[in-house]
Amino acid sequence: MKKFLTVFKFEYSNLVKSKTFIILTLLVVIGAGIGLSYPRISEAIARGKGDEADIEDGMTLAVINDSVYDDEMVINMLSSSMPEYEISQTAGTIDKAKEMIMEDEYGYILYLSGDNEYTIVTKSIGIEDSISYRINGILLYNYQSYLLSDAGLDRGQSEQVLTAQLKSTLVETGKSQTNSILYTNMIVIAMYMIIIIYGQMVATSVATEKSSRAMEVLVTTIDPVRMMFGKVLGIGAAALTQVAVIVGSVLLFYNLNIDYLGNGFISTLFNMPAETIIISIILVVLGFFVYAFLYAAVGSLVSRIEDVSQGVLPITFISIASYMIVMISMPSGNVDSTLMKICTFFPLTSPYALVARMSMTDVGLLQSIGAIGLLLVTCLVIGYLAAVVYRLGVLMYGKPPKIKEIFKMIKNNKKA
Amino acid sequence: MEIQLNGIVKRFGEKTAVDNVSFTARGGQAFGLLGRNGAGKTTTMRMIMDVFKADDGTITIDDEKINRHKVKFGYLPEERGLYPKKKIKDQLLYLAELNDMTRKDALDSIEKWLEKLDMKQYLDKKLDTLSKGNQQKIQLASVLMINPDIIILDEPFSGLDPVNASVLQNIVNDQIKEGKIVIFSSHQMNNIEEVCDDIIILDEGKAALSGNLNKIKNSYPKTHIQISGKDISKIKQDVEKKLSSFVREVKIDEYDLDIYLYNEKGRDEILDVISKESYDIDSFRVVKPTLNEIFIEATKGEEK
Repeated sequence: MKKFLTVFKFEYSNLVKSKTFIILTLLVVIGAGIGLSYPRISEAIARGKGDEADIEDGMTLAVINDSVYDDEMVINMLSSSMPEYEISQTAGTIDKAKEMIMEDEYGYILYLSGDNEYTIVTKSIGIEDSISYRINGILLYNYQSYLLSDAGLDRGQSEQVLTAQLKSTLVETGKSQTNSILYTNMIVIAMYMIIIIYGQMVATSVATEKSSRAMEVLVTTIDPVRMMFGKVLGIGAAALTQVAVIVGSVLLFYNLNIDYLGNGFISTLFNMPAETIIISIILVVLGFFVYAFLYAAVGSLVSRIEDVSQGVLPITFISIASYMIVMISMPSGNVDSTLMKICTFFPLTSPYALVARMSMTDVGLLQSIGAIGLLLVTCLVIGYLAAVVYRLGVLMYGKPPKIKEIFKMIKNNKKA
Repeated sequence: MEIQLNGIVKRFGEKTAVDNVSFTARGGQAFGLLGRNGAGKTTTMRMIMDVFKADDGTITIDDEKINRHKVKFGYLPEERGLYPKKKIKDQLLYLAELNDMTRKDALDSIEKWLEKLDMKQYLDKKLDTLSKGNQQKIQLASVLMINPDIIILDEPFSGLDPVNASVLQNIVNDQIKEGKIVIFSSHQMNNIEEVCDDIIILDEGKAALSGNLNKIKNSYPKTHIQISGKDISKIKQDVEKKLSSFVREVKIDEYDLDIYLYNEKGRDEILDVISKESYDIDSFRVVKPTLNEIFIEATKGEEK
């Protein structure tokens, strides 16, 4: 146990003290800080500029009115609904309008050709430009009230008709998928990154010891299995430290800027139920171990650092595949599909599938414990098998063994 | 203290790497574990250090099973290497702690040994910034800093310049004097011959020869005779004429006459011939075989 702790400490401090680790963590923390403070900063800048900023370049709209509506009424109606635009009146034809736009006289020209017919002329409409949608709303309302007054309704009555609303309530007895899909996405991405980044680190670390021949000395002082567990846990703890620092700073920045972030997308991410947080942490940790043991076994089988990337490819591929399956299943809301259920029971896909299913749907307490228990057993079995391979692999040099030979190694070990 | 291997066997799949090997290495002595590449030396060492379990046979220290908490091994592997990208101090501390040393003891011991090896200035350097010879010295320090009871050195002299080789030789001699068990493995027979009392020669996993080196040498037939003096060319003529049935080969140079005989009986015949004539002779001696000759003889018989 003491030697295990020595290895654990060595691996942990190696990683946590390394420059790459510190710089990377700092960069992410700074990035999160800037990202979460952005609304506050941009608001402060906007306030500094004052009212001048209200009408920006190109926010000019000219109206050519060939309809029955009163000119003044049209301008007033548009001005009151679209205060950030400078609205004026002009005259001419469509062709004249196009010319004026080309010459940058106005940003937009609205050509009203009839009671219920209009054309908007502009250079190009940006993706987030809602002007045509807004003008359509204003003109439609106007046309509808015009029709209603024709039918004999007075202004008050027609307004009542047009602004009539239904009272609706949505009751979800299960987890709201519109909310949970956002944070589940985050958890799955985090899990994927932890497994890929730190898993490969485990493989590289083992292969480095082997190729530098430090392993020859190490195996004489410590049992390889203890060494493997110390290494995997040490690197895992370093990963946890990094994640904790990042999550901690994100929470800090979020709380500092909470008044500016509104009620949208970002706050949904932070409204994760406590139960989901706890289960996710357990699953991410177990998922990491399942993969890290495999990565350690692969690292022990290759003789040279150059062979690591090739050796880990099958594992990385499985990890990517399970990540993809989960990511594709989530937006459809169908995380309980047959494919996902199968994935839950396959050791290498189950961490991903479980995270998605447990945070997006209601899984009972019993099932949660069952699923976590199953993953724990899987983790232990894979840990055991990896230890068997590791013990023999660390002193084997030359060509990496084929899959068949690895199975033979495991089988022979069981007999012994 | 002595370590005793009794009939140990190790198989890897179909191949028997070590086949029924027994020997005893005693404290205060150096033991030579010899053999050609792939003869089973490294496997034997690993079994001693409990890296591999022997399939058969026993390994005991003073008639007890090896207790890794009580007995410390210092091992210098043939393929040297520690962590190239780590500070020397950090990696030596790590290895010391893995050998149950406290941090303080480890630091003291590391300082002591680096001083002895004239390497103290490299304490905070990364290993791969050192020359190959200096890296070897660091590795040697890692073996000795834990104050091991049993020191196992695999090809310790390879890659060392003559000055460093003699530094190593002196250090090893000190360790032997302190009563430690030192097990050597080397292809360089002259080094082994100087230090080792007992040896074993492995050939394809089997013991081809083992025991006290002097005894082994004495057990060889005394068929190589060397005579020096003024009249050696005359003696050569007489021996070749009168004793041709005993003599296998005769070599002569300015000072020495080397006579190789078919069997030991020829020695008396030569003495007989010499004593009858009044030759001018400075010396007459029976030459014992060198370890190199013994090694080649013991291992080539099996060559196919």
